[in-house]
Amino acid sequence: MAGINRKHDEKLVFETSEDVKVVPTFDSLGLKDDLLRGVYAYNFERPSAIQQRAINPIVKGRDVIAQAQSGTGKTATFSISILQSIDTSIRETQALVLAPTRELAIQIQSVILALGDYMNVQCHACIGGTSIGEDIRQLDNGQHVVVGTPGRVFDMIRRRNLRTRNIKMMVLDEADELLNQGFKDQIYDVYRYLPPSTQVVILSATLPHDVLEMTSKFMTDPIRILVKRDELTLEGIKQFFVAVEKEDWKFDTLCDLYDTLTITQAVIFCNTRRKVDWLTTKMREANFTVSSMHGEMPQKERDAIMQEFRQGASRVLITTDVWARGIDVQQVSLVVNYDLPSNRENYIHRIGRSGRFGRKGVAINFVTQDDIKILRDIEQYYATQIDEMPMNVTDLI
Amino acid sequence: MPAEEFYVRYYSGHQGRYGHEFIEFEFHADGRCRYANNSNYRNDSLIKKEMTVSPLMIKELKRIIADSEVMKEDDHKWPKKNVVGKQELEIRFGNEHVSFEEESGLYVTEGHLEQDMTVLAFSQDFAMQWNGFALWRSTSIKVDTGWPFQIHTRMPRGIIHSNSAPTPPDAISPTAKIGSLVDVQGSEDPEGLRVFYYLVQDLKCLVFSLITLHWKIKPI
Repeated sequence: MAGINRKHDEKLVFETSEDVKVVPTFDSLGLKDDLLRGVYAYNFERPSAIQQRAINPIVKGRDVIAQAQSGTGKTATFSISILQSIDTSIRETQALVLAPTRELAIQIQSVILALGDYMNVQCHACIGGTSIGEDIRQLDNGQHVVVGTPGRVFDMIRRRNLRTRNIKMMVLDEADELLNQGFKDQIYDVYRYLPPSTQVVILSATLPHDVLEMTSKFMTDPIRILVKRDELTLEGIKQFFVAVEKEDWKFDTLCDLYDTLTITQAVIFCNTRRKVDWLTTKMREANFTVSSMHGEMPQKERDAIMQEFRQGASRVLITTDVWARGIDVQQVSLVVNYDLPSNRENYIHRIGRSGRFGRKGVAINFVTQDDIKILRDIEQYYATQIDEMPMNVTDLI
Repeated sequence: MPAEEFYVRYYSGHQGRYGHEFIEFEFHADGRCRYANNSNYRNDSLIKKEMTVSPLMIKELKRIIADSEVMKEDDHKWPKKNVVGKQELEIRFGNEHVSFEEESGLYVTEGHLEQDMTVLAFSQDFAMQWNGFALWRSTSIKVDTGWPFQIHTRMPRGIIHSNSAPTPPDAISPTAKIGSLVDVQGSEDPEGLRVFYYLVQDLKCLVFSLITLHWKIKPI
């Protein structure tokens, strides 16, 4: 009876707050008319579980920690909440959204603009790799909402082109990533410039316990909407692995799978930029059509590849974890982990590029003998099942 | 309906960087189902869930186990526990009781006693860690001499498998938990181990589905 009787109860426990109410329809959320129009025009019919629970407390001004499975409507949750909270007659920045990648920031901007289509909202994406002069011009023009990556946003605040005086809400999307070592200091830099009363909203599909512990440092009596790790994987995403004897065999396995990849769209993850380049070259040499993208490419090229992939002009994308979080391309139904991710969170995020908003998806992990234990640990941690890939995997896509 | 003797428990886990990470679940004849999942990964902690399933579900569970014919298997050729961790499957079904342990990634099945006794339940507790040498493992056995009367004896494991001497260490696969079917195929008893491997898959599938039905809020 190895585990059941163990006592861990005295440990600090975070659970979903008790007073979270469920709002069953968009109509009953009490949104402004032109926002509600935008919501329905965006083809939303019924709020998802996170939208039913989180929009209300955010709109009421509470600090909110919102966790929900990948692709279940977190972006729209905070976008609707921001649009409901801002006053478009004041042409000053009232909400600031931070995201870990430029592509995600651009995507969030487009969601906010689409939902706010009837509100005359100004929303700017403030990201690295773009013209600083253009950023300054846009910000001086007055933006109700700024969505950006931490570095450029801080730069704009320091230059006083992004005026923080009217900011009443800061949103950290992919919060656990933004609060990881690489970003934490930059987030704190931005946070210090915000008015003391700024409402803080954080969201992610994964919120490790150490991140939840950290939230007491910058959030006040937050409403928590949490998902336990064993309820985090989506039934719609079937997960498999292919055991390969040697690393070299992964390439042949991928070639064998190519016809399956192109049924709809597929994303292939490698752990390094160099490996993305290597695999891309090798695939092309073998006459397979693939796109590739990573953080070392010029932003112009990244933008072009994103556009190509979103439009379906390219079907197979080889990339790094720059693509792991948040990016929403609904036609992606297959994810391949050519390398296993370096942490358990990104496993959830990577496979979550497929199976968007209730769609079906398939994730295939390439594992060497050394990797299999890591994969089995991930499987056990999330209480999910990752079986050997069956021959008929095509039928599942 | 008088509850027939029935109990199933599965455990898989290891000690490592993130503490004692394991998953464990059990079903009792009366429908009580308990589940636990522990990890200290990034300060995470134990999740416990408990529910009662209907007699129909227990009936289905029995069918799954009976169809698998796992009760006919013997794990003495299965890989022994190793650093990767161990698995345990304990089944009490009617007057049969088997418990399979695949510590170190492989299994030790306690299968059959050749004495004219029916084993009701036995739980192994390895007094010594496998460290490359075959050592005596003490096994406490509850021997049925007419239920509900039990005799508790302690005897060395070698006696249980009196027809098979403890496997010499060099014959033991260095792998531990079953990683993939390759491990099954490469073991000394691929047929038997495969039965176990697929049964565990089926049981986990059933338990995770039940948990999803009972607790999970539909995200969409």
